[in-house]
Amino acid sequence: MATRIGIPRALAYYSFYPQWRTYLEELGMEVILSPPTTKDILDMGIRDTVTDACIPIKVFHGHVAALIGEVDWILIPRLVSIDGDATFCPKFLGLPDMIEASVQGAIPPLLTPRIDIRDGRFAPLRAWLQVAKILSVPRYRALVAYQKATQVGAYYESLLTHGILPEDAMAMVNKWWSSLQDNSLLALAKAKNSLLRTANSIESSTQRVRLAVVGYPYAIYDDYISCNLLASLRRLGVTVITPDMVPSKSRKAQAKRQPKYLFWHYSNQVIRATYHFFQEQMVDGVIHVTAFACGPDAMVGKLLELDCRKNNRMPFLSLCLDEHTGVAGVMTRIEAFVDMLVRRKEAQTS
Amino acid sequence: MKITFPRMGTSWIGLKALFEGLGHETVLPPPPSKHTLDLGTKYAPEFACLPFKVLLGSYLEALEMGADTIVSSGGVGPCRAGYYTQLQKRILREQLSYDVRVITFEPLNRNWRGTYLILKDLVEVGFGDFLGALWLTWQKLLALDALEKESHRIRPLERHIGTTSRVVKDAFADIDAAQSVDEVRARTAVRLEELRAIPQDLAREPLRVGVIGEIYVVLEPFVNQDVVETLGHMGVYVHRSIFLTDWTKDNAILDAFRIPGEMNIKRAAQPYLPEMVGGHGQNSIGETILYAKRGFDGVVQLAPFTCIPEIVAKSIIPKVSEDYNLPVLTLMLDEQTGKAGVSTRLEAFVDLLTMRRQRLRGETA
Ligand code: SF4
Ligand code: SF4
Repeated sequence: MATRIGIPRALAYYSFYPQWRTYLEELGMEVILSPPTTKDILDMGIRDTVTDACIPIKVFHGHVAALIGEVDWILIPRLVSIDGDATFCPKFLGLPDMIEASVQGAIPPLLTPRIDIRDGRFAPLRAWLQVAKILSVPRYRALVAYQKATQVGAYYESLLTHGILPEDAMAMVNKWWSSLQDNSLLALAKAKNSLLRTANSIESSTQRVRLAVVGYPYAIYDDYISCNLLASLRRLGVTVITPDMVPSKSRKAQAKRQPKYLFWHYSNQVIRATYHFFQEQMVDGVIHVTAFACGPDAMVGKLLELDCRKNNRMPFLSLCLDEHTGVAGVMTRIEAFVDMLVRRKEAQTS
Repeated sequence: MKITFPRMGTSWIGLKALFEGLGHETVLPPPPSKHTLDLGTKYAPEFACLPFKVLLGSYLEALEMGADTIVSSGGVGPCRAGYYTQLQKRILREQLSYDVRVITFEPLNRNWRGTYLILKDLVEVGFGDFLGALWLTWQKLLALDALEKESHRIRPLERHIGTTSRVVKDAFADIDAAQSVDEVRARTAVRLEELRAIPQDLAREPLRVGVIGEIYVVLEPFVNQDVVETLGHMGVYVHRSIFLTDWTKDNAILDAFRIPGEMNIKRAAQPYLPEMVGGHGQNSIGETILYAKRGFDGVVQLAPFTCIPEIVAKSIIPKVSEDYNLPVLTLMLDEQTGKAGVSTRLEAFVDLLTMRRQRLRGETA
């Protein structure tokens, strides 16, 4: 039987799952994903964390607990820095340690490659090769697996920048992967490029209200945490744009507008994407999705508020989520906000 | 320029001497109070950490008193402190329309040139006087720390509760008034003698408690509800893990030359938290372990509500506490925290430690 490796469906999952999964499968492992977030998962997370933790961290603990007994290992990379400018939130930095110290029950051993590009361009590769070593997979095989995973990751990321939401994009990656006759590296690169040429870019009809929903992927895209925010907005007839839909090059171009970079990777993404939306006049309003007592967001939220104000008083709504947030409450607030935007837009066009 | 600066514990005495020595008028914000915190809370983001709020409140008070320039320190993360002035500046200027200059000293190692430029602008005296001012400031800070350390040792032994606090308060005023390094040293010597002369009950064996956590709340008695003094008055010897001068040596100065400081603490933390998580998160773990090894009776962790590194530490401490059999009390401090609540929790903790000690002694006897 293949070794089973569990991946919690939370936090960095939304950014890296296709890549991680490809790598592990190419090493000959069986990858087991925890189920979508449910109340039970959240409750387990609440049980295992300190009350002061933010909801994404609680949910992550719950996903780990959900994998207990199902897998031989759990993959929890220690994401430190992937861009060299910033690190991840300190809670990411200490994530494997918090899990070790606080998840109840017999947690399987953790695989915790430490990803820190500041240690050199090849540091992430070395960290992943270490994982292969722990799993007793020969090095050459790991190198090929890593290359393939990188290709898949790039494909996934570009799907996101074409406006596809993570779960759909993952399904597309899946379908594409299993349809490949030949998944040698070369064939992979070719197939990916031709697919991308045919993908649609973000629809941007200017008639509809266009809304930037900015926040961290693990809050925006986890339908349980976000109380179905994205689906509800779409039902209200709004075009939703998220930071992940901005190509990383365009985000980077906005860095110069920050007098000092933020220290956290996802926070810079949020701010830079928002500046990009402003510059390209892509949106009519901004919703900031944030977790109760999130440390970085105390800074980010205020910056967004001040920046929206500076940008012609762009309407701004801050949506703060915790374990007590209910669907109805979120609905009321976004309905009012969207109504206001619709009226504003009508006034502007007439 | 009328300069104001962050107020944290006794450091204002040193900083005041510094800026005056550089040829500036300083505006000393009043000691942080309920009013300061209310002001800060009103304009700061809801989940900003407590130090951010108190400092913002302090700046507002100082601006009302006529300050036109704020001088503070920056940082590079991964915790929020390094971004404080960026955001405070925008709040003060954009939201509250103050015409204020905010000068931020970034860590030296990546910013020798920036620091030089700031200094060129800030120093209005000759190079000799500049060095003199730095030296005097450093001597004052050393004196303050020496006095405070001694007060921590003596307070649990004093026969009349409150004597130590009174003497040490006068001593601080003395250091503030001192004009030269010689004077600082002379006054320190006198005051140390005075502290040691306080009538003490040497037969007591105070419980020993380490105080760890985030630097601002550890150093500023207003926000920690006088934890150190309160414990001292309960007859507990408090070892505070952070003193400004040690911290400056270990971090700011060594760091300027890219030498990591406090290696023993970081090494101790390795098995539980091998990663730096900003602020004092990793230290909190390492120090707890070192206190356990040194036979302390307990540890009090002080953390501002929403403090990222301390939340990481708090998540791991129960495991450390269990493995080393050392009780740890975590106090999360926010604008609602009151003195009565803190005292009650400290009392209960001290009771627990007392009983635990008796039990342990009973076992070995
Ligand atoms: S960035 Fe905020 S929400 Fe994300 S882990 Fe850190 S504190 Fe939690
Ligand atoms: S250590 Fe904690 S309190 Fe201090 S700045 Fe960082 S998050 Fe805020």
